[in-house]
Amino acid sequence: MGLVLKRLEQAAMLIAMVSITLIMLIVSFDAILRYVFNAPLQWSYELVGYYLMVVGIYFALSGTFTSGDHVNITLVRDMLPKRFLAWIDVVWCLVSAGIFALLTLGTWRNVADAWTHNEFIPGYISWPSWLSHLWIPLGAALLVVRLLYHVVILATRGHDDDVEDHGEPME
Amino acid sequence: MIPLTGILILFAMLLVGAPISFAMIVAGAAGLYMIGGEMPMMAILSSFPRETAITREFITVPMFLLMAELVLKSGIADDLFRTAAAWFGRVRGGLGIATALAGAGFGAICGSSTAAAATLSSTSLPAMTKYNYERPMAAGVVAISGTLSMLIPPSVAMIVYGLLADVSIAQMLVAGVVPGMLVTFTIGFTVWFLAWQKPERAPISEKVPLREKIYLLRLIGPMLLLMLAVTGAIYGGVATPSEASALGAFGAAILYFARARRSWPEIYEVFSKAARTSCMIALIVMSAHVFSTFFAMTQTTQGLVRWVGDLPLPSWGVIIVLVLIYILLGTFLDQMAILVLTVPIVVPMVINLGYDPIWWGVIVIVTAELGMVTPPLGLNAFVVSRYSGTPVGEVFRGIWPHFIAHIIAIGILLLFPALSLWLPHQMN
Amino acid sequence: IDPRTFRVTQVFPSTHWHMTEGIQGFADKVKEATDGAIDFEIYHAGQLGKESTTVVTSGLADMGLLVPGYEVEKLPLTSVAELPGYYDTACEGTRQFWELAQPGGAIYEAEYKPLGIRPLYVMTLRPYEVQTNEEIVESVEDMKGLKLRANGAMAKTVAAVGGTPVQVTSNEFYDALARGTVDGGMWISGSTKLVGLENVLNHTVTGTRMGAGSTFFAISERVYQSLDPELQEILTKAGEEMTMHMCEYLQNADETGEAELVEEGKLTVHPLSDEEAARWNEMLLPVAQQWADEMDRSGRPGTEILNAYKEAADAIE
Ligand code: NA
Ligand code: NA
Repeated sequence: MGLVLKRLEQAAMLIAMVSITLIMLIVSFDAILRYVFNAPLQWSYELVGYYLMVVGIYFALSGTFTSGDHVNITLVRDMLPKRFLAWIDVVWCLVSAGIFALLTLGTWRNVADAWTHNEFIPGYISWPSWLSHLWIPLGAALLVVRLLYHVVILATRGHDDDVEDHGEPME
Repeated sequence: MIPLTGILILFAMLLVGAPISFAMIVAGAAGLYMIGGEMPMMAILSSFPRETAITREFITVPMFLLMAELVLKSGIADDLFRTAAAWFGRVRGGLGIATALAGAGFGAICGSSTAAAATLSSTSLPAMTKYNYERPMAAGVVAISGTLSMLIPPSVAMIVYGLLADVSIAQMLVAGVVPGMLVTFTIGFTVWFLAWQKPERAPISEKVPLREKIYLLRLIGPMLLLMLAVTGAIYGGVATPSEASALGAFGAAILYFARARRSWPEIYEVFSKAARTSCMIALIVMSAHVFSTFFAMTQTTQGLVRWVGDLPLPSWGVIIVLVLIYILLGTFLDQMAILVLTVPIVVPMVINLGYDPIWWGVIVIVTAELGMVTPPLGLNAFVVSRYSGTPVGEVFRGIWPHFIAHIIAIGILLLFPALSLWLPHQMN
Repeated sequence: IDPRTFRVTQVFPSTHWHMTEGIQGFADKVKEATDGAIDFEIYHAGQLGKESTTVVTSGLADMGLLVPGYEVEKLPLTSVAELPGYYDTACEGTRQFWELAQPGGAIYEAEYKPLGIRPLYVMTLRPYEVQTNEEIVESVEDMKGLKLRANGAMAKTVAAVGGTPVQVTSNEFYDALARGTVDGGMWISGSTKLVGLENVLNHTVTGTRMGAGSTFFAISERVYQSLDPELQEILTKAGEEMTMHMCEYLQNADETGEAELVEEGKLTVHPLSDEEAARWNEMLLPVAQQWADEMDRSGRPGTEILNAYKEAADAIE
């Protein structure tokens, strides 16, 4: 289970990375085409904004949690005993899993709505809307599974080696 | 009662070290449930994730992060300090001044304070040690120079402020240019002053031949060009911030791949770090939006804004109080946390008092920077301490003069809003 | 009437005319008619969410100002009013849109009723003009290769007369014009000074029928049905008055705005001759059919709506 989850997270992260790389290439290319050849790409605005950005953010969600990159405040945390901390982590992970499960459900309903109503995104090309919504519940569901698995491991073993402690805030 | 419960949930989760974004979304969702039941809570939870992701200006976040990762990993950033040191080494406190300039240079490619402090630690600290700089003096200037990256564009902190305060990202980024120069000058001047006062603190380094100096300039040429191009493109009219950021990342990628053969694991690390950090920031912005919506729906935000507006204080008095609060917050909160927790509430107040939200953004960022170097949580101080093996106490001792100089700089920015606003207003 | 407070959502700043002239006007009428029993709690600048349709249908707010141009995903059929060729003034456009949007109308049945929203007042802007910074457009040939801001369905209109449509958000429009990212855009003079574009928009072409956008103020059907019939009537009546008022206000504001700009030397008007205007309209004609076909293909009654719209347009002329 742990290994499957890890592989899924890695695959999702890889897709998020590819999306960000594509954004870099497409937006640059579009700008250059427009200035040099006066011929912007008619599809770049929607593809980047409605699809690649959504994939880039939400497919990285669970992997970012696992690698401990969601910033937190460590002031009090550093002073608490490890065993006590594990139980506290169980509590907030469960609560967060609940909220992200609701988020998954709600955003999944958006996918279904967009699909049944055949919604599309405006612009030069009419892109299907559901394909823009889809990545959010997928990415969020992965995070929910990760949080629940983390809770189980913490509760049974007292520590989870797969998940980095959120102890090193970045920017 | 409901707003209080929401705040309690938020602080309880923050205190035990849950991610800030998780704390805000849980507290916000719980609060919305208390106000209106399931419907408003689900409506917000299901619509905000995509609204955040498709916000046009948000593209700048992954792009600038990618650009910074690529430039830092390319090794070219280290050459920046060597060049500045070669040119300024013979001035009193020259290596310290070079550190400030390198800090400003990193700032122009990189939006992360700690990354800049870490890089400076690994290059400028050994150089200063070699020339027998006093340890607190050397560590202090490294830690404080790292903070410049938040102010000088590109700055993720500025973008996040812009997204939360709903002001133009382009103007926000450009607003940091002049204050960034002012703060760089302040750091350089402080170093010079300390060295003038007691020359043993900062011995002069040996002469570098002119030919070497010019060679070094040519080495960092492409990077200088890239950073000037990005800021220049936003300011001078060639591209929108989103385009400039993508082109910046693209240029950085060319630099990165052109300078050496790269291994796949390293490439993976560069791109995944950018992906993870931008995901973190997106989630923070989204969750902050959930929480501030809950807060607005309890009418607390509006009440606070009105209350502050009616205070028997002159409006500049309120501003001074707010700045003091920010300095205090900065001593124990991460600056991203400060931004997401305060901006949605404080900015409406400041606008209501008749001040410019862009000017205020500069003030908030400069003030929050101070927290990066003050005890107990001054992150840059810890980074420098770890990289250099200097005790944290000594680092803080070296920062102290810079802290005072910084307060004076903040005073100048408060008194002369034009320093922050002149450049962005020229864009119109 | 039982006292209650309606929660209202809108995406513009609190100083925007949509607020001061529109929503505030509506609120005042209702407050007055109910002797203050009814009050409004208004959330500005998209505080409750940028997609007002979702905010209203989910019950987060009771009423909201809906801008179909910002949420084409939820309100695609409403974009019929953006089609070129069917009206010359804001009030003409508003009347024919109201025909379709009011309870029982074709768009209401196909789009608003299923979503659970009921329009209270509607407005269509004065038709957009091609406005440019430096390039002068006097004939359709001058449009060739011009980069013009045109969002959403308007992109097809611009392309039909030879221009290159570019998506630019309203925040980015000034910069885009000043920097030459775009040469101009689909624009109306009434908004020029409001957003400070008087120095970067210097020429306008009049005599075209380029279409515009519609905006409407709606109440959640569920909330509406739960109200006292007396209050329902007050809301409906206040809405009807607002519909009449807003189109006149818009037409006026726009004409005055344009005259002012011309007088200050900030804008030069280039009216098309009748023959030239006819050439433009000829080229714009296929856009409507294309729109209907696309809607049909996505399983929406595009042709039916377009026919109803044409009928309403004929009846008004
Ligand atoms: Na920076
Ligand atoms: Na003009």
